[in-house]
Amino acid sequence: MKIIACYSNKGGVGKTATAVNLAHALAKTGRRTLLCDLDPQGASSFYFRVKPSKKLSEAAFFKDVERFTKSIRASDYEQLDILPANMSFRDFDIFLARMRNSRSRLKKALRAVKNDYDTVLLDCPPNISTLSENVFRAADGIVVPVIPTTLSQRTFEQLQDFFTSNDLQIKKLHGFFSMVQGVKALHGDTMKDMRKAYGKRLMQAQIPFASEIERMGVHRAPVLASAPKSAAAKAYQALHAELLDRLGQ
Amino acid sequence: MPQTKPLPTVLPTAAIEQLKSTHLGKLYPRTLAQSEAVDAVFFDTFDGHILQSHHLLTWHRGHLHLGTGLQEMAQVCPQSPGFVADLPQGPVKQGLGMVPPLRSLMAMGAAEIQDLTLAYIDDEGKTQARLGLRILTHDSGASLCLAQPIALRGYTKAIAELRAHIHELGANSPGWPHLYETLFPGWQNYTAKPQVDMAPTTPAIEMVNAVIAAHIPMMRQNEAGIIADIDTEFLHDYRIALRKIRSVISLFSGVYGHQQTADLKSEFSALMAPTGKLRDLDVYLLTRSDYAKLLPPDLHPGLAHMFARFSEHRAAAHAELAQQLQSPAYGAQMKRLEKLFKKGKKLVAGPRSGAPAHDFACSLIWKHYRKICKIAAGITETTPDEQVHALRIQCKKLRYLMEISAPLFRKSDMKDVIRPLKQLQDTLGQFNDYCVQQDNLRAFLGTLGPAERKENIAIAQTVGALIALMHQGQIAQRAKVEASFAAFNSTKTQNSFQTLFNSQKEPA
Ligand SMILES: Nc1ncnc2c1ncn2[C@@H]1O[C@H](COP(=O)(O)OP(=O)(O)OP(=O)(O)O)[C@@H](O)[C@H]1O
Ligand SMILES: [Mg+2]
Repeated sequence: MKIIACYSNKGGVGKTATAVNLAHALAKTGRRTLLCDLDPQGASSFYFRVKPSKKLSEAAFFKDVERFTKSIRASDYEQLDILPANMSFRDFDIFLARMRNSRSRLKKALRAVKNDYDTVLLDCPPNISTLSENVFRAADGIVVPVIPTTLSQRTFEQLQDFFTSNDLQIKKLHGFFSMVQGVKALHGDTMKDMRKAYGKRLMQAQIPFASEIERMGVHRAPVLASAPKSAAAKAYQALHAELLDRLGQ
Repeated sequence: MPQTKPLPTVLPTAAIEQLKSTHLGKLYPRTLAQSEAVDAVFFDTFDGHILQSHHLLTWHRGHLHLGTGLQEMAQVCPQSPGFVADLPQGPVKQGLGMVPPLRSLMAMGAAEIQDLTLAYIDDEGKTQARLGLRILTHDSGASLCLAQPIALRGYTKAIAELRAHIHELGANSPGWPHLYETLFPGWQNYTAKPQVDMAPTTPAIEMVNAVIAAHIPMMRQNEAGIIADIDTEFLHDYRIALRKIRSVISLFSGVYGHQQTADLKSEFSALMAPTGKLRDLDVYLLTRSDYAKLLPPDLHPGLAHMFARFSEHRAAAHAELAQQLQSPAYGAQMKRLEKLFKKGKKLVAGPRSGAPAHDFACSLIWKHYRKICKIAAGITETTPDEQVHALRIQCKKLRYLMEISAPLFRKSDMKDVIRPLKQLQDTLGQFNDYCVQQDNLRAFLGTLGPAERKENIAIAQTVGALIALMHQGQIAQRAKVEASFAAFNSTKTQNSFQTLFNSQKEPA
């Protein structure tokens, strides 16, 4: 099982859009996938039309394995389940540890219903600084959307520094350019600079700024389902393939 | 929650429109997918093993599909399927373990198949449950629909509501056991164990009439399969039905008048007579591989020649019987017999005709049981074989008696006494088989023809070896008889017979 986190310490960069489309692409290629919506706003749940679970907000929720497995919802897509939003960070910590430990009661419960997952995708909210280190340790890969602007460059730099100074595996970082606008000269220049500076930490695949992605909020469906032939859909597919390759899958 | 899929519910097709237009609480249905219709032929054994195990086997476009209705597996099958063993390798062949190896698959009927999926959607546009529907339509317009609710994880309430809804819609539908009957007009259910209604106080003549009336149609249902030579079970079942009829007449003697009994006995014996040869040859041919295992390789050519002869003889015996079953005289005779026992009026009653079935059965079972004990008590290692044969015949009679009158007793009680009897019969039956085989093989030797023909010599050698082997087998089984009877004659079984069949009468 692989845990993949969509993370950025900057808001509004496309973490949720990435998590939703990656999760869908993973499930489509036959991997049993669980998308955990860690955002209290429930953005990714919203895209999958799943109502936020009331039970999930209750304290000590994740200590109760049965109630945890019960609040998972099947999406409308084969192989893809959603864990709706609203968990406390403390609970989430416990959750991560249990997902990692194959002998935990949680893993046993999932296996018992033949529902253990091949991939767990985390849609992280911005500002999870208290928790981020644990996410970095638990995850096999951290996918970081980067809008090619100077400000984003700084944020990515900070993230790399955090990894180095905290003895975290920098290889786990998989940055990619998000909301790329080909017409903007600034985007082109920044991307060139960053590729030079960060080399392998940046994936080749990039996601364009696209109206299909913007309109996901209207369709409430992943781009690969609502506009499978669009350039945006193809870009997510390429991102999915490259990421699997980098994770050795 | 283990995810074993429950069986789809059989619904009338009228339910589909209703389903498409009915909200399920706050959920509304939407058609998610609809397949194109395909024409398929439904296959099963004559006695419906596949349907009984809640599966459907269909054949279309060179493929076999097997499933519990909606989920299925498929494999290539260019030719219309017959025996499972002859199918090409594949998942369907593997999944057909419920089909007895001696039974051939047959076309039950053809119907059009169309699949439809409904999604039940909430106010957010999220699907909370799905419903798989498979619509089966026969040319005549007869149709039905299989409905399988599909749960989505986390939406327990929606699936519970959907299941309840389906259950309600299907409450009055005939259900799985009658699926072929509903879909294929004129389709007749077949069972090798026809149900015979009888009560403890039923007059014996009515009970005997009912047993016969139930088994004549069973004979008749097997005729077409014998004639078409679909598999050997048709003749086997035909003979079982006939044997049941003959034994009920002779065992419950006194139910019909003396002359009537004699007439019926000879009429049914005459019907049985032309079936014996074919059945014997069937058994030989079915056990061919067992013989090969018994003999060294140098005797195999003789064995091959022998079986080639058997095949020829079988073809002739089959042709003869098929002709007999198709003759107008036979048809008229069976119609007459059917009517005779259905109405029962023209049958001449005998002195025991009014005896209550239960008491009559008890006294007969007790009598035969005592007889068995008496014969067995006299059997030692040195007693002549005739006594063993006499014991076997009595055991057989007792077994028929108990099986025929089983509906008059508690099922579990009957099982408890039939089981030990069965074990004793196994030994006696095998002993008898070895004897009969030797007789048959000797008779076959007599038909071989001139010794100049090389293959006749080979056959004679093989037959000689087989006779020796059968004789060994006979001796071995004979040695087991005493012990087998001792096992049957346990205190427990003695008590069971006593309490069940002789409770108010003489002590054992
Ligand atoms: N490639 C894209 N092209 C066009 N619009 C995009 C693209 N990616 C994201 N968006 C839009 O930008 C907004 C923010 O995206 P998203 O919610 O995915 O970011 P986020 O990083 O998850 O935000 P937050 O930090 O608030 O969780 C959304 O309205 C989304 O539709
Ligand atoms: Mg987000």
